[in-house]
Amino acid sequence: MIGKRIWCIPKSEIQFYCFVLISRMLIFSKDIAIFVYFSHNSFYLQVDLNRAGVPLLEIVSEPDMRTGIEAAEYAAELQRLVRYLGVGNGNMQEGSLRCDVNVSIRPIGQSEFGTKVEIKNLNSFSSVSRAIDFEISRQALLHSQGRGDEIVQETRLWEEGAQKTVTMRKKEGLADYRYFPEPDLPGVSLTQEFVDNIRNSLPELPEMKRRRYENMGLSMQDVLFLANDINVAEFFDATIAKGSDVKLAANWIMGDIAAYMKIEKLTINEIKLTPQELSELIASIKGGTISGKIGKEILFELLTKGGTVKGIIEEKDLVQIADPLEIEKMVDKVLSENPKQLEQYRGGKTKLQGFFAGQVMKMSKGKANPGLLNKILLEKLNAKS
Amino acid sequence: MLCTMQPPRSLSRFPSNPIFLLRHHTSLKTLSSLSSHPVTDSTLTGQSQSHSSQILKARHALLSRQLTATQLAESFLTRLRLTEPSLRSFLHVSDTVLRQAQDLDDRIGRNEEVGPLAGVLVAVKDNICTSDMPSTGGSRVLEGYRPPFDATAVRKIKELGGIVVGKTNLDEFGMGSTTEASAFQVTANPWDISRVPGGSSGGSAAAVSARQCMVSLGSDTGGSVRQPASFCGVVGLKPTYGRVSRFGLMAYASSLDVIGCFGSAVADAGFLLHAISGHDTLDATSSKQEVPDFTSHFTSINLLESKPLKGLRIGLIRETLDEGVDTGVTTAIRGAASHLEELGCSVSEVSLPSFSLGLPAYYILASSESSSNLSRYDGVRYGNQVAADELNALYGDSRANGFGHEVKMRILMGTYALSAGYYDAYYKRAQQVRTIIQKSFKAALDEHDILISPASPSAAYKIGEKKNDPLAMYAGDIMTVNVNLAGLPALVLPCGFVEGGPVGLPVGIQMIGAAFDEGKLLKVGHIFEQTLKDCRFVPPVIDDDIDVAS
Repeated sequence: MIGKRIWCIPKSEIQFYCFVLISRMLIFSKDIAIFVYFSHNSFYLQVDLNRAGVPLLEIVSEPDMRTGIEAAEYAAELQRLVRYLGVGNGNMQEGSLRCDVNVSIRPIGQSEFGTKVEIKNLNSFSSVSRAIDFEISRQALLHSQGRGDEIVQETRLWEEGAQKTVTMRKKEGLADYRYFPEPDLPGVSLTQEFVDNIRNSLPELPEMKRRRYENMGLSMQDVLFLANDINVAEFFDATIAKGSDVKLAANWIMGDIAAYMKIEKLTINEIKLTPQELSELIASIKGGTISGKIGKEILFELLTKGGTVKGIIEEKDLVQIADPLEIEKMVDKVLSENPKQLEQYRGGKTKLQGFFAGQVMKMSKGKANPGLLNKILLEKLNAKS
Repeated sequence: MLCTMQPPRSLSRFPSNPIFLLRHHTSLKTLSSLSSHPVTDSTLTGQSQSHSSQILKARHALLSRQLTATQLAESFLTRLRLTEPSLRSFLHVSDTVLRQAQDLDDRIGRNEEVGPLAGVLVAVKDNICTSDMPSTGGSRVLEGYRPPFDATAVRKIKELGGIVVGKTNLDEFGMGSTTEASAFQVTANPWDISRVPGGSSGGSAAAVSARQCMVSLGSDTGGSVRQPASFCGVVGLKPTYGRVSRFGLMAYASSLDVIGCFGSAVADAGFLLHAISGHDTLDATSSKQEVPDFTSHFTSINLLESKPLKGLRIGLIRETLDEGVDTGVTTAIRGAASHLEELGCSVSEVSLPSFSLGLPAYYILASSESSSNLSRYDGVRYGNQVAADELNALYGDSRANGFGHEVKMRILMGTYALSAGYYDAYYKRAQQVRTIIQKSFKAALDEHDILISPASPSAAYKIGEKKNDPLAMYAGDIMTVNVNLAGLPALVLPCGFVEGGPVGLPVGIQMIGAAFDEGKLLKVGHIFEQTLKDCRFVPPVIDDDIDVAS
C-alpha cells in the first residue's frame, strides 16, 4: 500500500484573496507506527510498530485553495485517485489517508502570505472543511480586532466535539530542521520506456471517467454519483457494456440499488446482483416480458439472493400476460362482478377506469400488460354506451 | 636505488615462528579444479619479496598441500599474539579462526571446491558490521554491540572462503587521522611504536604492516585508508565511490564514505577489491558498473619490457609539493616520479588550483553529514543507554556519555554549518566547491592517465603530538580529501623512507585515477612495486621471514 497520507496545504483565506493550484512536491516517506487506543477510559495506549517501513507518500499542494469545501474536495479527489489506482484504500478513519492543512490569511492587495497555522487531527473531509472555515474566521477576527500578531506559526488541533481549533504546539522554523539533500538516496533517472509503461497501464482516472459519462448524456448529478466510487463506476460500465440503456442503468443503480446498499450497509461488490443480470432485467422490462413493477420485485430478489432474471421469472411465473383474449376474459369478469361501478362509470363517472384497471391487475397478480389492459378495458367500458 | 634508507636488519625482533619452516610432503595432487580465480601465480614464482602476494602464496601453499589452513592460521595468530601487546591494532580477535581453518582443511582433504579467498586471513575495521563479533565503531556508545548481520563486503569475503581474524581499532566512527580518537585504545605504528599508525583505519593498516593478517578492510571518508597505509608502509586502495557496497559500514559521511582495502602487496589489494565490489540492492548508491578482473593484466617482473609503462601520462599535482610538505616526503615523491619516468611514463606537473579548497569543504560536508548520521545513536536503538527520568535526558545523557570529544566536536560543527542563517555560507558553499573540485579533477584526468601526489604531507608522527591541535591534524588530510570529494579511486603504495624511528619511516605515493579505473591504478602500482629496487617494507617489529610458503 502506498498512498497513506496526504498533506494538502491550502492557505485558505477570506473571499478577498486569490491563488492558483498546482502540486508543489511529493514526499516519499515511511510510516513508523500507529497508536492503538483500547478505550477512551484506558490509561494505556499501545503502539503498533507493524507499520514500520510501510511506504508513505506525502503530497504537498501549493497554497491554492480559498475555502474549506475546496480543500476537502481536493482531498476527496486524491482519495478517488488512490482508490482508482488501487494503491490504497484511502480510508481516513483508519489513517490510510491523512490530511493536515495549513491556513493563512492576508489582506487584499498584499502579495506575501500571512503567518501559516497548521491544523492536525482531521479525520474526515467534513472536518477538513469545517476546521479550515473555523480557522479562517478565527484569524480574520483577530485581524479585525487589530490582534493579528497573535497569529503565530504553530500546530493546532481540530476538536471535533467543540468544533474549534486549539493550540497543540508552537513550531520551530523550517530551517531549524537542518535539512540537506540525503546522500544515501541518489537521484533516480526514469527511462522514457518506464514512464510510458506506467502511463499505458493507468486505468481510466476519475476526471476522464466523469468526462466520458458526461458525453453519454448523463446529468451532472448522475456523473458525480457514478464516478465517485470506482466499484460503482465499474458496475455501471459493465452493465452498459451488455447493451443496457445508459440512463436506465444509471437510474437503477442510483435508485433502488443504492437505497438497498445504504440500508444494508453493503458495498456494490457485496450485493448478489451482477451487472449481467441488471442488464437482463432492464432488457426484460424494455422488451415487455415483465412489467416495471415486477421488475422491482425481481431486483429485490436478485439483490438479496442472487440468481438470474430468467430463473426468477420462470420460478415465480411472472411472465407478463400479453394475450388480448386472456386479458379480455379478466376484464369481462371484473365488469360483471362490479355492475354498480360499471353503471356509475357509464353514468359519467369516468374516473372509475382506474378502479377497474386496478381490479384487473390484481386478478392477473400484476402480470397483465398495462397498455393492453387499458386498451381492452376502455373498449369494453365504452362499448354499450 | 630510490630508497635512500633501507631498514637495517639487526633490530630486535620477535622470534621466527617455526611453523613457517614446516614442509609437508603430502601428495601434490593436481587441484586445478580448485583454481577458481583466473589469476595465475606467475608473478610469484621464485620470489620471496615483501611485495609478493600473501593471498596467492597462501593459495599456492594450500592447494599444493605444502601447508594446511590450520598451520597458516596458527602462524598468523601466533604472530598476532606476540605483536599485539605492543601494537594494539585489534579491538576483538575472533575465537573461531582455527575452527574455520580446520573446516577448510577438511574440505580440501575431501577434494571439495574452495573459494578464491580460501584460508585468507582478513582483518576488518570495527566500523564494518560483523554478525559473529562485536562491532563498536571504536565508540563507547556501541560498546558490546553485536549486529545481527554482516556488512555486504564481509559477507562476500566469507562466501569466497576468507576467514575474518578480528576487528581492528579506529578513530571513533572514522573521525580522526591517528587512531588516538578510539574510545578503547591507541594503536602503535609497527615501524616505531612511539608513533601513530595514522587513521582512521590505523588498526587495519598496522595489522597488515605487522603481518597479523594477510589483508584487511578499512574505510576511507577523507583519507582514512590511504594516510595510514602511507604511515605503516602498506598498500591502501580507496575505490571509486559506489564501487563497493556501504551496507553494514557505519555511516560517517554517506556521500564520501567508501570501504577500502589494505594489503602488503598491490595484488592483494586488487584481489580483495575484486571480492567485495559490485552492485548491492541494499545500498542505493552502489554502482551497477561492471566489475572487471582488476588483476588479470598483471605482468610478472620477469616478463616486463624495459619500458613497460611507455606512453602512460602521469600528472604530478603541483599543489601537493608546496610548502607545508616535509622535504623528505617531497624527495621521495619526486624520486617515485623519476622511477615512473624510467618505466616509460611521461611525467608532467599539473596544477589543480582548487586543491587547497578541498580541506575546508571536506570538513564542512563530512561534519554536516555526520551530524545527521550520528543522530541514530540515541541509546534506544543501539548500544548503551544511560538511565534517565525522562526521554530527552535519556537521549542526551546516552550521547554525552557515549560519544568521545572528536565526535562531539564534529557533530557540533555540522549542526552549526546546517543551521538557519549559516546553511548558505557553509554547507551550500562547500557543495559548490565540491563541484569545482570534481570538474578540475575531470579536466586533469582528461589530460593524464594518472595523477600522483604524496599520501600525506609527512610520515608518521609521535603519539600525542597533534592530539591537542586538531587543526594541525586536519591539515594532514590535505592530500587525500579532494579525492573523496571527487569520488575517484586512489591507490597508495610505499615508495621510500624518511628518517625517523629506529629504522626510518615509510612514505607512500598516492596514484589517483579516473572513476572506476581501479584496474589501471593496480596495474601501474604492481609494476611500480616490483621494479622499486632495494626497498623492503617490512617493519622491524616483526620477524623478517614472513614468506609462509618459502
